[in-house]
Amino acid sequence: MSFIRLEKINKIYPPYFRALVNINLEIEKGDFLLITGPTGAGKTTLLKLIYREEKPSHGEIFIKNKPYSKIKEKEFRKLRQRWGIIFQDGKLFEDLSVYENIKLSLVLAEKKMRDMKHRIYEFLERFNLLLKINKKIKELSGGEQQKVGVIRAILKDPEFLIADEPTGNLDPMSIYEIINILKELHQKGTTIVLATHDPTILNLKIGKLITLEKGELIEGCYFL
Amino acid sequence: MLFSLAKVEFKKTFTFYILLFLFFIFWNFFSLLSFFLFKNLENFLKVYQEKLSINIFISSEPSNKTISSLISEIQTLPFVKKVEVVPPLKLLENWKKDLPPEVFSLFREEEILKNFPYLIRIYLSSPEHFLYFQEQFVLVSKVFKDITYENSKFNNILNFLFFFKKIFWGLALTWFIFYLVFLLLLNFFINSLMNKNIKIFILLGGSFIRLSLIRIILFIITMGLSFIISWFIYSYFIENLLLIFSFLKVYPNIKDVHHLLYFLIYLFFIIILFPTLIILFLNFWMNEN
Ligand SMILES: Nc1ncnc2c1ncn2[C@@H]1O[C@H](COP(=O)(O)OP(=O)(O)OP(=O)(O)O)[C@@H](O)[C@H]1O
Ligand SMILES: [Mg+2]
Repeated sequence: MSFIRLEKINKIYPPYFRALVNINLEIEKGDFLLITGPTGAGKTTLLKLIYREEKPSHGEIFIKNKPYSKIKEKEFRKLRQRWGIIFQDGKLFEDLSVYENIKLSLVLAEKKMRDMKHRIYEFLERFNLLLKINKKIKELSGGEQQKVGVIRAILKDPEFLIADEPTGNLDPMSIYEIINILKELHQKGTTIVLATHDPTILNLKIGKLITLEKGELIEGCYFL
Repeated sequence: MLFSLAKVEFKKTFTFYILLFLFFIFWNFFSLLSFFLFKNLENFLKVYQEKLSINIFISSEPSNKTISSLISEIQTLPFVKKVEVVPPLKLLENWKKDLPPEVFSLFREEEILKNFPYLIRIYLSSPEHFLYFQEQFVLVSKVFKDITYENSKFNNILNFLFFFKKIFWGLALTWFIFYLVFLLLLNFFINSLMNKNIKIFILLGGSFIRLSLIRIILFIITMGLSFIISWFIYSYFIENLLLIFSFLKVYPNIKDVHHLLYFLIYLFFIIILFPTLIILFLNFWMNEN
């Protein structure tokens, strides 16, 4: 039984833009799935469908054989609490501090803050952000914001990590850090779906690669 | 943790909270004032009603037996509070000063008395029962001849009471809908202003109930403060009004346990329950479907 299965997924943005065309895809537990493809190919759209920010126009997505359309918002909320999502556009609370942003996500994931505090410091240190811990998000640079988004998702110890262009704005050192963390998570058995054009990540040759082009899936190849 | 989000929301939508604050001072003040006027007018009408009777004149000279049987019949009718018989002699006495003196020079007293009717005054427990009483009375009075029946005052007061209550409840309902619509719109605007944060909150696995909690607390605090101000304004206003019209009674009189209880229930509904329901409803509707 696959963890997540997409069946004949089509996404049409109003009025009639076809962002995804007839996508069939299976993600197994513990998979490391890389999605690549040119700008505008529909990578973000595909991820949005998986974490249900958007709903498909046709087709159905299944999680452990249960169709999304049968899952109530309340039930899906529980899933999102256990998943880590790195958004391409950050999705950070601009008026809250770095620390508050991370803490809020952990509180919503029902993590005990007593145990988390030193891990937050550890990760901020690792990404060179410790000095900015009390700065508001809107006072950070684009790359710094990106890093906060990554830390927020990873600190949840998610069972499923969805990462949309996590290295987009970053310097090589940070990219290297992130790759290390992704490898660690993959070894621990976390299921990862990652959309990227970053050659450093694509050259890792781990996991499974699929390519999207104009909303269509071009059958991928296995590395491993 | 929700506190930091609440702080952000409060800062970003400060003008809306000021608006809520001012609106509720105004709304609550006029709610209390109209309740005060309604209750006082009602009191006034009650005093008037107490004195109001249905008058029945029996002009043919009836035997004492018929009168007393009529009275006992009337007394068995529902909602009759008191029955009073005024014999012609007494009626004449009461009316003596109103009759022109020539009458007495022209007629002897016995002759006048002969033409004077028996008067039966019937007091009802409430004028609202008048129509019902009338129906029943028609059946009873069929047995008796020469009964004249005066009810214009009753019809007037009934019409007025009916009209007055209808108008009052109509206005109260409109006023209440105004309050609901205002809260709904305000929340709608705050939601669209905070749209980005709300979306992030939901995507991180936050529930609409938790989301609403922030707003509910801010609303209750704002409306609570606003209520205190408007209560002071109202008390001051009423105090001064009573200096001029001392016959008016204070409503709600919070020294009275009953009043206090109803007043607290009113506050609970207006400041806590309805805002909570509106916020929950709107957030559910906007984020959970
Ligand atoms: N909300 C939307 N409404 C209308 N069209 C949209 C919307 N979101 C995306 N699109 C369109 O769908 C197509 C795919 O967008 P998507 O964001 O999925 O691309 P992408 O592969 O993630 O690109 P990038 O590599 O630049 O992140 C684009 O052409 C975009 O214009
Ligand atoms: Mg994208």
